[in-house]
Amino acid sequence: MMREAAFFILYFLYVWLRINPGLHNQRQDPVFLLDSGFLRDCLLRPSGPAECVSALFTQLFSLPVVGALLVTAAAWLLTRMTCSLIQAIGKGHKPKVAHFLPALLVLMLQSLYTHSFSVTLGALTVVGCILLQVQTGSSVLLRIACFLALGAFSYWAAGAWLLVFGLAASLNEALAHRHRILGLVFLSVTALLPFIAKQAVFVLGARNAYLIGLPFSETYHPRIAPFLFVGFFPVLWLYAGPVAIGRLRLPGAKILKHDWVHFALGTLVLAGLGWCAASVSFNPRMHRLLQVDYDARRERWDAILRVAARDRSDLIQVAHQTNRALFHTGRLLDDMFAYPQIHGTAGLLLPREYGFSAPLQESDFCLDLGSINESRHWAYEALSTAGRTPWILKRCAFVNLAMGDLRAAERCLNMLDRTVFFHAWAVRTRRLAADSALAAKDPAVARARALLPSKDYLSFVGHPPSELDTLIHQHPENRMAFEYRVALDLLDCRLTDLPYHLLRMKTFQVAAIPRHLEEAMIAYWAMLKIRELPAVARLVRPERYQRFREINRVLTDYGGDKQAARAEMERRFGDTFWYYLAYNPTIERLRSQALQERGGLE
Amino acid sequence: MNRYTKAAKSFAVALLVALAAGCGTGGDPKEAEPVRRPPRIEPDYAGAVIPPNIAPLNFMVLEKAGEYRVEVSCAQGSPIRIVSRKPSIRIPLAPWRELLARNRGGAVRVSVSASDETGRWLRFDPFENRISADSIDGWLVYRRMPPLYRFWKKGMGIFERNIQTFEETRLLENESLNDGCFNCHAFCRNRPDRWMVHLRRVPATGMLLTVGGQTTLVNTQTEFNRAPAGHPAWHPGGNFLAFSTYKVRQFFHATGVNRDAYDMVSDLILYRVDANAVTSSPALADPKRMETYPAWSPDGKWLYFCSAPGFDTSTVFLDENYRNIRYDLVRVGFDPETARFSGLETVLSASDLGGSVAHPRVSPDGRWLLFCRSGYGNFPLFRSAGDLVMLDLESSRVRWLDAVNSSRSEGYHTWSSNGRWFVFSSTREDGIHTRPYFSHVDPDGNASKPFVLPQEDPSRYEHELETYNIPELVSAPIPQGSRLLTESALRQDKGIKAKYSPSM
Repeated sequence: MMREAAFFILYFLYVWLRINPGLHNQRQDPVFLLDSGFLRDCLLRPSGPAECVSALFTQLFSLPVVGALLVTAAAWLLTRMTCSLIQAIGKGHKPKVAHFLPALLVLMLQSLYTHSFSVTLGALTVVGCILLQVQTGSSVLLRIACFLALGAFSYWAAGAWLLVFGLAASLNEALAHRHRILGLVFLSVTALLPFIAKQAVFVLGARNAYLIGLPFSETYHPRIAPFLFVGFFPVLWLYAGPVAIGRLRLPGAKILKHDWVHFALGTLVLAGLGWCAASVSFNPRMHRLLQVDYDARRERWDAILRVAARDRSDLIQVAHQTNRALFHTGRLLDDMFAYPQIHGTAGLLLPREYGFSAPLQESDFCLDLGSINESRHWAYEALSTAGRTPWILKRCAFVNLAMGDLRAAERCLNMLDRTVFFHAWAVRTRRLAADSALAAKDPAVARARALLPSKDYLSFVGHPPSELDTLIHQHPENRMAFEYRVALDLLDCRLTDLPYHLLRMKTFQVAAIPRHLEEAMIAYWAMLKIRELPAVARLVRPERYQRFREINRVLTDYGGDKQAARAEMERRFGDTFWYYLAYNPTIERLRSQALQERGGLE
Repeated sequence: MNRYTKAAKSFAVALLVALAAGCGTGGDPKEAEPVRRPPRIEPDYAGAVIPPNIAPLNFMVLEKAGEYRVEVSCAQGSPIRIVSRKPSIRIPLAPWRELLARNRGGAVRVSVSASDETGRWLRFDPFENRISADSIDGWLVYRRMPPLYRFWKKGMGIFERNIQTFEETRLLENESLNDGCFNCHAFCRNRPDRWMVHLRRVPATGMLLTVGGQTTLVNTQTEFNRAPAGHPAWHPGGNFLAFSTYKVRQFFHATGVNRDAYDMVSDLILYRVDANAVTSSPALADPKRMETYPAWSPDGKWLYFCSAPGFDTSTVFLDENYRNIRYDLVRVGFDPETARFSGLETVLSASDLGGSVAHPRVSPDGRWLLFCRSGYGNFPLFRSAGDLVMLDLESSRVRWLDAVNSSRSEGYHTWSSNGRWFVFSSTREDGIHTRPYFSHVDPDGNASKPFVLPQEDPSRYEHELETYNIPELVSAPIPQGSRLLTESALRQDKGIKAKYSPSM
């Protein structure tokens, strides 16, 4: 008992602090509506009940501690039921470690952030059904009736988990009741039931009829985990049956007779299995990506920068959100090269394929940028691809409100009223929709409205520089468009427009020129080899020139060999534009461009 | 004991009275104050002409009140009385049908009273609907889905709605079909025994063709048309289908209606059902022009369609050149015996119209051609205002349907089989979600104020985030069930591939 308690406390802590169910919610953002139509649809398809309950629970995952409690509770319940099952088929044989295996497999599956909690619920449902079937008395008729009723129920509630139930029931007939013919009949009925359901009850394809609700996907790590999970329960008969009738003699059985040896060995095995399960299944890259995404959705910009500084991710999405966080903390043009910019401009603006696969994130970004119509476009793309999830509904409501399309906003709010956690948000936003003075005071609405384009232009995926220029032209106070335009030039090592950027900077009344801009200007003047610096050079802080002299000195120390100097350069100047410029493949292009445009500054 | 029995009896009587009031026998309090204006209701049904076989026009009263009393009455028959504490007014189906059936050609009057917070009763001016003597086809088939821009995954389906009741049947849903896409569906003369729906990546791409009791998946791609066929139009004889084959490009505006699109290339093709063959003609596939939206005349001797000069796609965004793409309405003669086209002529030029033509549909009597006019291009629902326009094919006069059009877009209309009604999609409510609206057309081509498809829950449109695409009126329910259609769509091995035949 103590071991079990300790196991599940560790289990809970691991799920909460390492896996973080909040990231499941972030990745899956499931639809769950307190709406008769939604609930009816759920109940009218196989596996619908498990998916519906899972969608509700996954909403609760947005509070990671609650999510961890739910996952742990489900794993514990599965362990208890498995224990009972082993005892039932093993004629009282009490398992020592085997009953923990499903919980460990759940842990492995749960490490995949696309894993639906409905799989675990399906397993729980079916193990419950197997238990009932196994415990049904000796009457053949009763067992047949029970099998048919539980089989139909498990298909409706958990989908193709029925196959596990059917296989277990037939093994039970063949091995426990020695009724091989009935076992075969059960097996045949199990194989036929999805076909009958597909033909007579539900509208679904043949593949779906036999796989719905089961966790077969190539994305699990290791790939065998879902097969082990599904196959575990029928295999129990091959293990517990022989143990029960004394045929299976485990090696070292004599030593195991000592309780303390048994306990110690069992604990050791369990700990080893737990460690293996955790280490082989956890995907740190995906965890990092989702963590950054999770924080971005909640506008926790400092948290993103902390993760980015700690993990130095090479993921383009992380680079994108890091740059966004840098802007929101007012550090983009001062510190962007302190973070990996290996993707160049693609890490700044979302590349095409990223926008397509993450439309809500694209909508967030467009909203930041002041491209409100595009933000609405991507919000509705998200609605078409992911459904009426709370975050998507929020975004649709907000952009419609900001654009003054109150009727469309009201529709989204009415739907949001039907979600579990966002009713209060809907009420607050409805107040803004009803009272234009109140809406004007709301900072987010006011900002979005202030940046509404005054004149039409065409928007293209990937936000080309011309689009940023249009945004700045229409709203010179659009700081994000401006900073992103400058950052775009820096990442592209395109420095000819720097003087114009400096002029535009006056709009924002900044105390000092951002560091990277200073660095870029010094580099530009140096490359042009102009003898007399322009007047604007006085605005560059002296320490910046000093740093530039230092970097040149390091390079001279290495005889001008850039590659030989790279390690020291990275250590001392890795957070500067100069380092990016020196070790960026676009430098050659820049050189030829600078030569062509020489004198552009004078 | 006796006293208790009396009290119980009194309570039972009171309860019965209350229940009876709730069941529709209550009336307005006599002291109700007149408000001198009709009540604000949603959907706005006031003043619309309605078919005698339409489902009850349930509505929401947008007046705050503790209780609502509604009386629905006609010259003939008993009035329907509804008492409700909620603003959602649901008219019982059976008495409504009886009332409408007895008053064809008459009017139905709706009186609303409401009690305010103090318990004071207010009586609003009643509003009326004229009950047309002309019935409407009883079923409506549409695609319902979230507003589609470029991507889709969930929640797309083809539905059949009995518009005489509230029964909605799902014919196809994309979650059962590998998240594929359905679009154009079309019926031959509003009949459910000859119809088709176009499928994309379910996993097959092609049309699901139903002829008689047989449903077959047909791949319409041939050596002539690499792109699959869309925008179908059934020849009234039922053996030919005209299609447009096109490549569309979408783009997006920073202000106003966000979505926009143009056809980069397009041609018309003809599919012959009994020969499973595709053909075309220089008149339908002129390399210098783009042809789209075919529509047959009811005698089957003319094929109407939209046609625009080709353009240089590489400069389409320069100087907003895409705004210069305007479609004429043209027609070409057709001989069903030889399947040959001849005599291409312009019916209405874009320059004369001052806009671009899309979605032409000829009325079943051949007198009217209803089309959609927009500023440019062939996607009127992507314009801030695309209007329905009626062309008198006898006099060639154009009639602007002011009573029908809104400040937003209308389009994708179809006629009822008797030609007295048409249904169309409109984004008038919020500019995003299209809803099906019905309008009555009198013999002189005058269209009445339209009304939206009634729903059992009158607040449904207020929270529904789905659009209703391509509403098509059908005279009877589709006999094939969802399962059969789904299986036919999934069985690629049983599908057939159309062959190209330069002449038929």
